Amino acid sequence: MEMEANFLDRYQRQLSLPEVGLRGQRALRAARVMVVGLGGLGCPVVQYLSAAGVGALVLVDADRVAVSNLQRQILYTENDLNRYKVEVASDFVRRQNEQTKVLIHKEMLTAENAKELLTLADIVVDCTDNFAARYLINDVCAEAGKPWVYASIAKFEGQVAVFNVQEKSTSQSQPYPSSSLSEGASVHRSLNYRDVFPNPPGEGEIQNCAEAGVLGALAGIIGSLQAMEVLKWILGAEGLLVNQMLTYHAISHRMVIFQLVENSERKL
Amino acid sequence: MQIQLMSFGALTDILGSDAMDWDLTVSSITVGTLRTLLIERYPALGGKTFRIAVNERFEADESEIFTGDSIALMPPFSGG
Repeated sequence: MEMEANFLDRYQRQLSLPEVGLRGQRALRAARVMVVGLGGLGCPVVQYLSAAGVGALVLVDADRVAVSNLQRQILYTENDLNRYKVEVASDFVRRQNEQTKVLIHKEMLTAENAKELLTLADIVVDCTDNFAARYLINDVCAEAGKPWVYASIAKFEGQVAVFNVQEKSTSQSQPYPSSSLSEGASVHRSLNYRDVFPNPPGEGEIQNCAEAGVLGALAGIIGSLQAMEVLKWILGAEGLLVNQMLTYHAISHRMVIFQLVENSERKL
Repeated sequence: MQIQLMSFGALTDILGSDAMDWDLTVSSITVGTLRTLLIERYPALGGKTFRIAVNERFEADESEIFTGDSIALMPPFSGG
């Protein structure tokens, strides 16, 4: 894989980490990440993945930039109002890192387009803002055998988890990126969102950010945690939030990692 | 038995506090029974979607809770 001439300088701060190094940098360059939703979570995710040298980003969002987005969606400026978010984000990535390929889809993820879009990515990042999209991502990733990084926010709190990661079915519990497993190895997948919440809550039961309110920096914190989990998965680093769910509260700074257990009635 | 009760998200508005101790007159209960007791004490929890964690592990309704356990009530979040 060709690296740009100045890549030793460009990535020096992460190349010097044993968890990255040249091998990790090549893995980042080879990685294809799909970001669904370019709102408060999606903005920092796109920026950190592009900056770190992720090779390809597939950006999925049907929305245009609205004035109420500017308080927390830090990719967008007043000059971008009414432009498609995927186009603004794509322009940003091109300016930030010309080595990162960007594919944009000005449409919502649907049951119809999800299967084809998933073939373009190794891992999916859920930066959506509604339950229909989250359960769709969960179910299509379960069917397609793709890992995904979940996050969601409410007022001052956030949840983060890594779902559906391919694991060796031996005594080793450490998950591995799909690329490091030999073909035919006996594998199974880690727990998913339906192990935590088997079914979506009722209509109107849970308030969204428009109803409940949110400070932009919270989306930045939780989106950054998501970006970190994506990078760790690509690098094969330890400590992924697999079979776990992290919660964070920005007022108390209380962070708790809950252990998940399998929902024996789960179908997908 | 005494348990420590933590709540997350909008459930904190229903409980009135994100952390409290709760004294129960039994020596152990199941997660399912605790859910019923919680809804009796806080009727607004009825019909809400939430998981119950015991000592930071989400447990099924049959799991038992003992004195001193730390209980967390976790709803789904939707924002992004």
